[in-house]
Amino acid sequence: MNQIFELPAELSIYTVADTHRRLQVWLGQQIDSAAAQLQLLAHGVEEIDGAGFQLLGALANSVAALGVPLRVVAPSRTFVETSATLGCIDWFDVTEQAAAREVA
Amino acid sequence: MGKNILIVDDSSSLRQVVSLALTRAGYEVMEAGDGQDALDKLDGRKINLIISDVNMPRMDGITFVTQLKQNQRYKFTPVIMLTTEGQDAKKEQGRAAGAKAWIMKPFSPPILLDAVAKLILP
Amino acid sequence: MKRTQQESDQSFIAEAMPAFISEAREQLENIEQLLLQLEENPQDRDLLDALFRCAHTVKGSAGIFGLMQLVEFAHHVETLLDRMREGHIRLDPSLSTLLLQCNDQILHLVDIASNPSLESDEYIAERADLVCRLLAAVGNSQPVPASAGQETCVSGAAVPAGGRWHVSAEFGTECMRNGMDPLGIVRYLGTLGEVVAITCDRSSIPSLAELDPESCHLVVGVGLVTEATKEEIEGAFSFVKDDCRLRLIAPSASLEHFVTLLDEMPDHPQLGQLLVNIGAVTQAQLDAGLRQQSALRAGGDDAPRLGDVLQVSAGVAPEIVAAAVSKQQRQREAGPDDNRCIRVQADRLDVVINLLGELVIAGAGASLLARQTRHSGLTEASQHMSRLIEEIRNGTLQLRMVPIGETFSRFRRVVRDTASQLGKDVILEIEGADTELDKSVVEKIADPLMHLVRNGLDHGLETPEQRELAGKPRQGRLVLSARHESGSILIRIRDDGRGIDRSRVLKRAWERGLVDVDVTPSDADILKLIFAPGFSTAEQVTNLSGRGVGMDVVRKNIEALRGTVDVSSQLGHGTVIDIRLPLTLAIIDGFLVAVGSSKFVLPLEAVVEVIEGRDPNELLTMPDKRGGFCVPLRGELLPVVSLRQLYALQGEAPERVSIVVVRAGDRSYGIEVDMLLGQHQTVIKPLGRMFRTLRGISGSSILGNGEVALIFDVPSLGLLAAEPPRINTRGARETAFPGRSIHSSTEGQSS
Repeated sequence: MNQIFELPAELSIYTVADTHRRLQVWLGQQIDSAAAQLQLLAHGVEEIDGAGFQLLGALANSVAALGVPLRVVAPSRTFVETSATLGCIDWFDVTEQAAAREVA
Repeated sequence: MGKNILIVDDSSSLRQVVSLALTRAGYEVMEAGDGQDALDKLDGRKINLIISDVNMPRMDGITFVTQLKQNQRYKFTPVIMLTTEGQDAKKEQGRAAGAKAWIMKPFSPPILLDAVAKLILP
Repeated sequence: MKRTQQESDQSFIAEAMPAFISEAREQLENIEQLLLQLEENPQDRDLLDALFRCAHTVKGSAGIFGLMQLVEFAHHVETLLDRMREGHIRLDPSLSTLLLQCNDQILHLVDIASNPSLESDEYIAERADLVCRLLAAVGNSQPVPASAGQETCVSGAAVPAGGRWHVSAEFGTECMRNGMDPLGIVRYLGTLGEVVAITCDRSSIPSLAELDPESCHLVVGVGLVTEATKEEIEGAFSFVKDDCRLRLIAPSASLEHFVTLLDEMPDHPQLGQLLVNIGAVTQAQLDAGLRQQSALRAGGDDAPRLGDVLQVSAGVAPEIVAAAVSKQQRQREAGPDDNRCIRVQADRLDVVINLLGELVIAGAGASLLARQTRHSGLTEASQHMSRLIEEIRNGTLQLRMVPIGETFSRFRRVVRDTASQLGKDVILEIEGADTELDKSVVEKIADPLMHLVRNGLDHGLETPEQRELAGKPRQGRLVLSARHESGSILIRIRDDGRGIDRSRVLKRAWERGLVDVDVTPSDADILKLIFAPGFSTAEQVTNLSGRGVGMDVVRKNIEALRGTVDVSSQLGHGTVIDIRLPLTLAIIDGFLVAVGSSKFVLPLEAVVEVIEGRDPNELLTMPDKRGGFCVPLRGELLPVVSLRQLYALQGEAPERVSIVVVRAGDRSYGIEVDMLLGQHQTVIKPLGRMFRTLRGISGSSILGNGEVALIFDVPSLGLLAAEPPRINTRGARETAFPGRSIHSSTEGQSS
C-alpha cells in the first residue's frame, strides 16, 4: 500500500530526531509492501534548515539504493526556495500531484 | 516570517542601540537585563538567536547560557557572547557552555549586524 | 595505584618527544634553506607557501607537546609569514635577517624542550626583542582575522579584484549542534554578491539508518560572483571556522589552481563527483554526462570515459580531467601509507652493521676451514655464502649513506652571516651535493669543514675594496665540492682569495721554533706547517676562526676519520684544501700482508699494484739521502717503506720480498713485506686509547683464524716514513717509536 509521508511544518535541527525515527519506520513499511514509488508530501513545510535537508538527503540515499524513485509532492514555496538556496533541488523528483490518492 | 532575537545586557543604553539596529534591519527584538530576566522572558517562546553579555548582576552570561542549553527547547539555539579585551578565559567558558560565537566590545552596529547575518538573515 | 589518563598522556608525550625534536629540527633547517633561497627570489610564491607550512607544522606539533612558549613565539613568526605570503609584506634583507634569527630562537626553544637548563636570561631577552621586531614588522599591514580552523586558499594574484569565486565548504560534525546552520551561511554568502552556482554533495551524507540527524555531514560548493575580498568571504564562516574545512579559489586562479584544489580535496572514487566538488562542472552537467555515457554503452558502443564525455558536453578543460583521473589513480594505487621513506634510529642500524661485521669475520673463518677440507662442494657453498654476505654488507652500509649536500647547505648560512660580519661579499657555490658518504663521517666532518670555511672567509678572502685593487671581481668565490675518487670521497674547499704567503708562514714557523732557522723546507712542506700545533699567522686571532681550535685540531679530527688533508695555494689567486675521507668507517676491503709473524691489512682502494717475490738485493737501489730505499718502476723511482725496519719487527728476513705499491692522494710509494696474503674483507675495530697517538695505523681487525691484524692508514704511513728532517713536533709524541729517529741508518739489510 502506497503511503505518502507528510513532512512536518518545521523540519529543523529541533525536529529532525523525531522525523528521522518516523521516516525509518515509514521506509521499512514501504519496503515490506514493495511500494513502487516513495512520496513525500511537502506542502505543509513552513520552516526547513540544513539539518532538515540533510535528513532528506539521507533518505534519498537510502531510496536510491533501492532503485525506486523518491518524489516530493506539492512542495511549499518555502521548500522550493530553500532547496534551491542550498543546491539540493536535484536530490528529488518534484511533482505537483501525488501519484496515488492515499495520504498517510 | 520574522526572526526573533533576544538581547541580554545590563546596560539599557546598549540594549537600546542594539534593539534599534536590529529592528531596522528587519528582525524582531526582545530585551532582558540579566540572565534570570532572560530565562523568565523566554519562557518556552520560539527564539532564533540570543546575544548575551558576560558580566551581569544576578546571573552572569556564562551561567545563563549553561542553564539555557539544558532546556530542550533552546539546545540548538545560536548564542553570540559579548566579551571585552582580555577575557579569553570567559570566552572559553562561554564556548564550553555552548556559546560558539562572540563579538568584542566595543562594537559598532554594523559589526553586530554583520555577525548576526552570518547566523540568520531577517 | 592506577595511572590517571593524564599520566598516561604524559608518558606518551615523553616517549614521542624525541621524534618531535628531530622532526622540528628538520623543519627548521628547511626554513633556513627556504629563507636563503627566498632572498634571491623574494616574490616566489611557492617558497613563501612552503615557508609558511613549515612554520605552521612546527607550531602545530609543539602545541600537542604542551610547549606553549614555542607555540606563542612561533605564532608571531607565522603571522608575519602569513602576511608575506598574501603579498602584504615584501621580504627585504633586514626582514630576512630577522626571520633567520627567529628561526634560531625557535631552534633554541626546541632544545629547551629536552634540556630546560639551556635557557638563559640572554635568550629570554633576545626572544622578547625578536617579538617586538616581529610585531613592528607586521603592524603596518592589513589585519587578517585569526583563524583556528583549517583552511586553504588558492589564489592566482596577490589581491583579487572581484569576479567569480569558488567556495567549497565541508562543514564539521558539530556545527549544527552548536547552533550554526549551513543554510544560513550560504544565505549570507548571497548577501555578498550573486550565487551563480550551488551544489550540495549528497554522497557525503550517510544512509538513513546510519545517520545521526543532529550531526552535520554537509559539503557545499558555491560559485559566487562578488566584489568582496577574500577576508570578507571567509568571514561568512567565521563562527564555524573551527569545525569547517574551507577552500576558496579566487577569480584570477588559473587551471593550475583547480588542479591544486583537486589535489587537496578529499578523495572521491567517482570522477564526476570530484569534478563537481571542485566546481569544474555542475551536478546537472554531470548527470547529463552520465546519462549520455550510459546511453552510449547501451547502444553497444564502447562506453567513452566520463572525463571525455564531460570535456565535450560540459567544456571541462582536459587538464582538469587529467588531473582528476590521475588523482583517482593515485588514490587506488596508494596504500594506507604513501611514504617511501622510513625513519630508522641510527643506533639500531649500527647494531645491525656491527652484527654484519661479525658475520663477515665468521664467514671468513668458515671459508678458511672449508678450503682446508678441500671438499669442493663445501668450498663452493662457503664461497657463495661469502658473496651473499658481501652483498648484504654493501646493501646495509648503503643504508647509512647520506648525501653530503645536507651538510653543505648549512654552510650557506654560515658564509652569509660570517661574510657580512667581516664586511666581505662572498658567494658560496656547491658542487657534488649528492655525493654520498657514511652518516657518521658526515657528522664528524661538519665541524672541521666549518672551521676551514670560516678560516677561508677570515684569512683567505679579501674585502671588496682589496679585491678591486687587485683587479679581481668584488665578490669572492668559495666553492665546496665533493666527489668520489678511487674508493674515497674527496671534499674540496676552494677560494679565489689572496692565497697563502709562504714567506710569512716560514717566518712564523721559525719564530715558533717549529722549524730550525737555517732550514728552508720545500714549498709543499711549508704549506703543511699550517697544520702544525701552535701555529697561527693572524696578527690577532679573530673571534671567528681563532676560537682556540687550531688547524692542527682540524687535521687531527680528519685523520681520526682515516682521512687526510692537503693544502695547495697560489699567492694572489687562492687556496685549495683537499680532504680525503673513506666512504665508510665500519668495514674495510683490505689486502692482507705478512711481515715476520705479524699481519697487516692495507686498504684495498689504496693498493695500486704488487711487485712479487723479488730478491731484495736486486730490487732496491742505493738509499737516498734520507736513508730510505727506492725501487725503479716504469722509469720512475718509487720510495719504499720497509715495515720491518719501521716497526723493528723480529724474525728472519725471507729471501724474497714483495712490494705493495700504494697510492695516497697523488703520491705513490711502496711497502716492503714478506708475504702477500690476498684480499681480505674485515670489520675495523678501533684501537684502544693507548694507541691513539700511533701514526700510520688506523685500526685493527680480527682474521678468520682469530689472529689480529693491524690496519694501515696509507697516507699517514707514507708521511711517517718520509718525514723531512728536523721537524720538531712539540706536544704529543707522534713518531712511530718514541725517542728514536726514523732515519735509522741502513746498516746492512733490514734484519
